[in-house]
Amino acid sequence: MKHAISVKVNGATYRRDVEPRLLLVHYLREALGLTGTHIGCDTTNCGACTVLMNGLAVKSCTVLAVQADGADIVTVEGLAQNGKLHPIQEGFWEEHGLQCGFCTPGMMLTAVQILERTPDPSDEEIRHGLDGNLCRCTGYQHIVNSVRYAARKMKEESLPAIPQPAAAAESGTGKEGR
Amino acid sequence: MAVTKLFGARIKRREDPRLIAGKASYTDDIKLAGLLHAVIVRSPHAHARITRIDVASARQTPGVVAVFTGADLTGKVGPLPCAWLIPNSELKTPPHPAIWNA
Repeated sequence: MKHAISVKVNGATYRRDVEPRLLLVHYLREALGLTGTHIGCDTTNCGACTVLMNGLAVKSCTVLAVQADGADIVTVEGLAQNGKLHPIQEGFWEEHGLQCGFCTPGMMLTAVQILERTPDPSDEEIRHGLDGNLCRCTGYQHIVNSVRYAARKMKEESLPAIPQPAAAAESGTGKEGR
Repeated sequence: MAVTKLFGARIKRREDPRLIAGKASYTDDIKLAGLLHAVIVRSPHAHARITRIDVASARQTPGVVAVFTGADLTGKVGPLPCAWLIPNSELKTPPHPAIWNA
């Protein structure tokens, strides 16, 4: 039996009927077509699927879509606002925080939570905060530098860590889902 | 002296904008008409001899389009080629057959 859920994703509210076993990551990727959130391991080790749920970084392969009913989700597609990159996106670009980019969306959303909690984090705090996210390209140092870049930028320009989307009009009523 | 943009300056990667925006297309993001999914089934034993593989129940599972084993490859597929041979070298390239090649 399918459940009707309503989830706000990157400022837009989507209504879908989903199976109770559907994972949030599959809801985002398959039902909403937001493929920026990646599935790296399926076992909650790698953090590639990390999104913000009500401001908390969660691994969306460990959250059921029905648990996200009524929640406010931010994915990588929602980081930039009005065509302007989020400081964490700028940081990853400027500091070579990525190579293949597969872990990057999860890394960035976890980093957003770190910066929300600790606006001026030490390297140790950044590394501790990111220890649930695996990267097989960079060796992590550039990722730490990227987060520090974002922290500096946010301080200089008084920017919020969690993106504040203007109320988006789009809302889906489709019946897709797995 | 000729100075190019590649030296003495930070280079921003041109591929990054789509990667940091979640707009890149990885294989798992691509959907084609008639797309099928493959599952590799490996031996649960670390060191053992395959004497036979019974694929009957796999073939009967709803949604399964095809099941292939090494027997299907015999005589049709040679060993995997070495991807890049160094010209005029004495590089030894042992054959790499499909693992179950009875």
